[in-house]
Amino acid sequence: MTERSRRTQRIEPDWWSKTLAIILLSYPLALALAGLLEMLLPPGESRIQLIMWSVAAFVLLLLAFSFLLRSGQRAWWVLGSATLFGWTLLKGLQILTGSAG
Amino acid sequence: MKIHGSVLKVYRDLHSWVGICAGLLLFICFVAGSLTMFEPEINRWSQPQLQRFAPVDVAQYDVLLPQLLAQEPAAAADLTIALSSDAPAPFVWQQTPSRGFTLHNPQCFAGPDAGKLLQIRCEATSQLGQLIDLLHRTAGIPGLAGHHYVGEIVMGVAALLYFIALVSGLILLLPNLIRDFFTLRLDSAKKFWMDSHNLLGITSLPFHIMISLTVVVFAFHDPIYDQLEQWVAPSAPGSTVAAAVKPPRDSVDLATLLPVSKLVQTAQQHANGASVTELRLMLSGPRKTVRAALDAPKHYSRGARTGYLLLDPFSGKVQNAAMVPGAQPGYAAIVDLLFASHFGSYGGYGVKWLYFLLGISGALLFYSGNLLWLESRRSKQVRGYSAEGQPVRQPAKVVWLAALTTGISNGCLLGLAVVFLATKWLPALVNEVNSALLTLYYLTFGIVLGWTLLQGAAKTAVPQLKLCALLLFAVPLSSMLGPFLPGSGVWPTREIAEAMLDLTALLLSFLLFSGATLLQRRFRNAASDSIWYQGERTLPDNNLPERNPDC
Repeated sequence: MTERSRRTQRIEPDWWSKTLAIILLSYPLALALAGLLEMLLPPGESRIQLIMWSVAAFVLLLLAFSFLLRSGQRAWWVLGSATLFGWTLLKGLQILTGSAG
Repeated sequence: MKIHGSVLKVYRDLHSWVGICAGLLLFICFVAGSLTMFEPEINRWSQPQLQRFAPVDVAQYDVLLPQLLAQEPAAAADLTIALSSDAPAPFVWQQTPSRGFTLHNPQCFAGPDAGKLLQIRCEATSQLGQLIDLLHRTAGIPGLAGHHYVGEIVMGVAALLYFIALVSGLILLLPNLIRDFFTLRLDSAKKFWMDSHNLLGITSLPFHIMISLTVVVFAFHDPIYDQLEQWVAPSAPGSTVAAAVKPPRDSVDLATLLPVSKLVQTAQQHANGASVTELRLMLSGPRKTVRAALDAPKHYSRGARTGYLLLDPFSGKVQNAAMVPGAQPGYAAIVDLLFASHFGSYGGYGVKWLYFLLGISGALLFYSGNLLWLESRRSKQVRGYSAEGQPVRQPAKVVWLAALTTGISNGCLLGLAVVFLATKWLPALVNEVNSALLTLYYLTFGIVLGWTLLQGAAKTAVPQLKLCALLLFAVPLSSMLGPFLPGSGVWPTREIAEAMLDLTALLLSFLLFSGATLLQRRFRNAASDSIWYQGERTLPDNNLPERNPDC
């Protein structure tokens, strides 16, 4: 293993900034993901209930796995842009399909 | 599987932190949760009198209900019309209608006497099952926030941490998954706790994942629905609960209620083969409804014990059929499966016992996690550095966490044991059994915790466990001998389920006692640098540099 690839694999704890990013951004990102999932799933009875469950599942997965992000800065950058992208995509698609309220 | 050392380091720290924060609360919820698998059985066991009024035919309800509502119109707000033959009475309600469990709220029972005349009796009967369910949902943290308990919200947060603990624990195990799974080393305390922690964790991982997900949903579904509605799917058809609600009826004319037999018949038609065990008339909210409980052992169900069907009590129209066992339309089938995975309501008594054992093993998982934390952070005797045999001073955090760990877990166990024992003896002594039971639980918990914090974990753990074994032993003993004592008010074992409960208490008592004896032997030989060292720690070990572990 070269010194460089060793360095790229290394993750920094950056507890404060990483944890803060994860706490603040997991939920908005999970909501956007759930919204996108709702657009994918065909309509059906109790669909919104399943979507609500998916929010919880997305939050849990994001909380647990985002600590793998290499540094605090990176956590802000990745989660932040994913949230922004997710919401833009969701709202864009809603406007395109005419389902926005 | 290879994982970079820095990843393991981050996740090890994460695992310690979230585990320590959530572990003890989860211990309480898991012990109480195991018991709630048998909530109806515990409730029946706790009744001095199983049946206030004998069961009646379906046709008789048509005559009795109007009589009851004429005498007690307030009962219509939330009235259970019990249809199964082992119900305490044909009609059961709380004197003051309330969503959940409330103290100083007698239960009312109504049924016909020998002359077929409707009789009503209200009494403060024991609700041990509901009390344990409350402990299970809140970990004993009191207070209300909106229509949720504060404890439920706290446990929702604990469940978030608990899932992080599951994932981080799994990541830590991945490099040596196979080896760790098949090892149980008894040669050192730390290795033993490590191996048993891993074993418990891996074998019950799917159960734990489902419990953490469902608890997050139970605690936070209201805000999630609100935010979904506000931001994500504002116009999705049927997205709001309110959309399904019909305009409220301003006045309720109880005379226009459908007869019970008609409602039962309608419910049975839509029940998909399930049997209707009770009707719950709910007329206090904006939506007037009658909720039929559907028992279908062959299907998983939405509720902890049954599925449901909502009918309009005036027209008999189906309001909601999405919770009928085995016939959940569309996505409701998946949603009910998620609910059932928490309640263990999908395989009769077999699954209930399995969940009971999984719950206990979960509690042991959290307990072993705390002990593991302690074992890796205690100061160890360094050979040739300080004199052999001289006590080692443990860091304050080790002393305190050891006391909190045994104090809280033993406090919960002893509190429950006291409550079970008191259930048998209290009805003859006090009027308000439930307040007395609640007080006894908190009192015992507080005393045990205080005792442990004052005297330390090492000196109190064994006597506490033995005391708990003794109290549990007294439970079946009371059922056997109490009835012979004049004026004791103790009732004998009347059903197989009650005998099972007494037997389980006896078995647990033996297990705890032998566990305590085993610990006692180990503690007696505990080295001076052990957490369980019995002697005084009077010599501060100034030579020894304080170990500062990564925490």
